[in-house]
Amino acid sequence: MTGAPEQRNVKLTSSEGTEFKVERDVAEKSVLLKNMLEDVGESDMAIPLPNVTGPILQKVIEYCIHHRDDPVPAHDDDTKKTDDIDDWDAEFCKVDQGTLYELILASNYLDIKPLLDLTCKTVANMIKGKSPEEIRKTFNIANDFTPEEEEQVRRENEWCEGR
Amino acid sequence: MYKRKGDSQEMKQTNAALQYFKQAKEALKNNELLKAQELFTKAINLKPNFISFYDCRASTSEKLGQLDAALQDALSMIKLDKTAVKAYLRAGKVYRLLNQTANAIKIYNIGLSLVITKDQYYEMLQKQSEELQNNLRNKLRQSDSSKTYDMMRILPPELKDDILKRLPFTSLCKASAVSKTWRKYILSSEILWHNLDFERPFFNTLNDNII
Repeated sequence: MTGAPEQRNVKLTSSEGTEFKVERDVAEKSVLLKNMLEDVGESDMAIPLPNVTGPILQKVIEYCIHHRDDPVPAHDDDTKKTDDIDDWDAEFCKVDQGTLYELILASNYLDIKPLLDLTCKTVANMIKGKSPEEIRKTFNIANDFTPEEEEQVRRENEWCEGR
Repeated sequence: MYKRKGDSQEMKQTNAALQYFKQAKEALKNNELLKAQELFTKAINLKPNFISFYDCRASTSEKLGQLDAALQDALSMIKLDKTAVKAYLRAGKVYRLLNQTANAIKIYNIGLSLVITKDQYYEMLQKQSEELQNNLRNKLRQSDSSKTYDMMRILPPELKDDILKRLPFTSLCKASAVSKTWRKYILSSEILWHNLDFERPFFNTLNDNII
């Protein structure tokens, strides 16, 4: 797949109409785009992506360029593993929460499994090992339990305190 | 009246200082800031314990953009008279201009605890302090909500599951105690309870207990 000399560029348009040009093998990291390109064949038409904003598409392309030579991921690895994020990917995910969620939505829509895994793992790591109060802080969530409900939840959860 | 000679010497100095002060005010009116600053300095050199002199020089320095100098004068004022509301108002203002909101709040609050409540400017100080703290709180709230979101309210179910299914059992339980939304979602999501991951430590303690 890589290094094809006459590789054509693919044009993508973000929701606000910004056009992005990427090499075909980069675009094909997205299963959605790969299928579309196979269906359409060679075409100069830009592919509209009405669900993805420019800044997010930019990030997605950045990811796909960095990972363009990665092998196609094997069928469902151990999904419980969340500590296998390499430095580049960790750096890539250092964005505000809004961007992170948009990346999750975009990678889901574009069907880029490794990026979806990465971003979901990142959010999972924001929850993992934290107390309920710490989780609330992380996501700015109000504790809406009544004192009685909270006491009950606490009792049910007693066994996992300190783990 | 008690020490004639000393008194007249004092008087002379005071008069000279007031003279400079008046000239400085004139210069301010004509927008001659540097000249005014110089004259205020002369007045201060003659009478280093008149806090109005410092206040005016600080205000002049402020206009000249010399905020550090202004801050020095404001702090000198507080040193001279710990109960002078003006001093705290000035210091707070300079801190705000320096974008040091936390220091501004601190100085206002120190002022509020030291000055006399009957002082005519007391209310002004109180108002400044409250206003600033409210601003800060609003700003914090805004920046909080612009940066953090409750993912349970944003993501579609399959993506919530995709995140939550990566959590070990203990984390899942703790997550279920976060809020009503989280609890309801996590407890009712079948997929999350299909493939539980009881980390090692859990087994170890279980075995310990059994043995």
